[in-house]
Amino acid sequence: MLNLNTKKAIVGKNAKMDWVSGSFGSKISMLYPMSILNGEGAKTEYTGISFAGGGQNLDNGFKVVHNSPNTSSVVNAKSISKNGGKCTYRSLVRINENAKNSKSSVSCESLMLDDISISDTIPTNDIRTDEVEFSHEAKIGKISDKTIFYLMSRGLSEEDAKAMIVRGFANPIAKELPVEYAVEMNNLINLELEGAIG
Amino acid sequence: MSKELLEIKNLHVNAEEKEILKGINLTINKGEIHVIMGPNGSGKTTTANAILNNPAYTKTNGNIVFEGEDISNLKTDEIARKGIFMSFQLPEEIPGVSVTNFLKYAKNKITGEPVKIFQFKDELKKYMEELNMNPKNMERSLNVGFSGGEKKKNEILQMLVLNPKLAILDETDSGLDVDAIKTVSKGIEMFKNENNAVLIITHNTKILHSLKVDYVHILVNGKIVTTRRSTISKRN
Repeated sequence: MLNLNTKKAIVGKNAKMDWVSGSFGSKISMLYPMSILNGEGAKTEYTGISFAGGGQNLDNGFKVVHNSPNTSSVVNAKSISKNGGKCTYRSLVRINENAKNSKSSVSCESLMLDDISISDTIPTNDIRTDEVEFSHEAKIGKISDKTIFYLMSRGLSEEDAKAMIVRGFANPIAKELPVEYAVEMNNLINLELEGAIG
Repeated sequence: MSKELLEIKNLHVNAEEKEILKGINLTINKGEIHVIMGPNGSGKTTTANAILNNPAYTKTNGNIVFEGEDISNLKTDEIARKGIFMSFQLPEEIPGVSVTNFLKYAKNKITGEPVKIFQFKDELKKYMEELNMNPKNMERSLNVGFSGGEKKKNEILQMLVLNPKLAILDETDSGLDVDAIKTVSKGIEMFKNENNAVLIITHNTKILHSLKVDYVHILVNGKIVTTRRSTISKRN
């Protein structure tokens, strides 16, 4: 399955647009929802998680254009890759000249479960005015043998240990989701870890 | 019932192709507290890791028998479920997993039984009070942002909750101030009974003054060079 779709939102004065994205099953996914903050004080938030297993290429991210003063955007993206799966975070943050006093903070974190999986972060930040607060934070990590050994010494099997680390990693995202989605996401993570799908 | 809990026989261990342990023999009976002391690089931490079969270390000779069963080649989690616990010198951080949830999960894996939640929380609360731990830490991610002392106390808390037959404390006292060492000693005293045993690995003698130690082994260059019944420990 290929998942290539385009979603855009034009956000008016003091309005808020929230995007929530969970990307699990497809072979190739390229998904970059976009918020155009046209009204003064418009806000947007993107929360996304991707989990790529073997043979999957999940290329996800977010685009935002700040077109008015006092606008804000918050991005919180996480990705997990295993068995040679590939996750890419690709994004655009553009803050135009007239978007004074705007704020944007981007955080993306990736976790790789083995040596053959791939993770990329390709952010584009186009800031055209000085009077803004902008931050970008990216972290890429791999599950270490030491951590696995620590958890196994507490009675967890290797699989249990990996699953616990992955669930912990995804937990901050799960907290942001409505309960039904969070439950669904946890189920999907468990299925991914058992290798039942993907 | 045999009193013998752990027997290490002629254990040779390599780490990264280099021989670290060169024939360790050690017997620990139920009800005893043993201490292994020795200079840096003598093989103290390797001994602890070898007992739990850390894949980073390779046994080239000898074996480890626990309650009459050879556990030398079991996986770490199987050894943990037999009843051996290790307190780490540098405990790992697990973001997004609270101390409570972690302990509940681990307890379930160790005992193989469902954890009774109210009883579990009461038990946790009691231990944390004894160890002067901040109750707020229970909902924080395991070891994330904990100070060195908090991490060590958290290891002792895990020991109390998981209630192993043999607790190996690898440098649990190192880097702690006098008060924290007292708290750790208190935790060990709470844990200790005539059916379990403790193996303390350390390079300083401070902890010996606050615990009733039975045996002290001196490890030098991968071999135990001296073993004696402790004389410098606390006598009440």
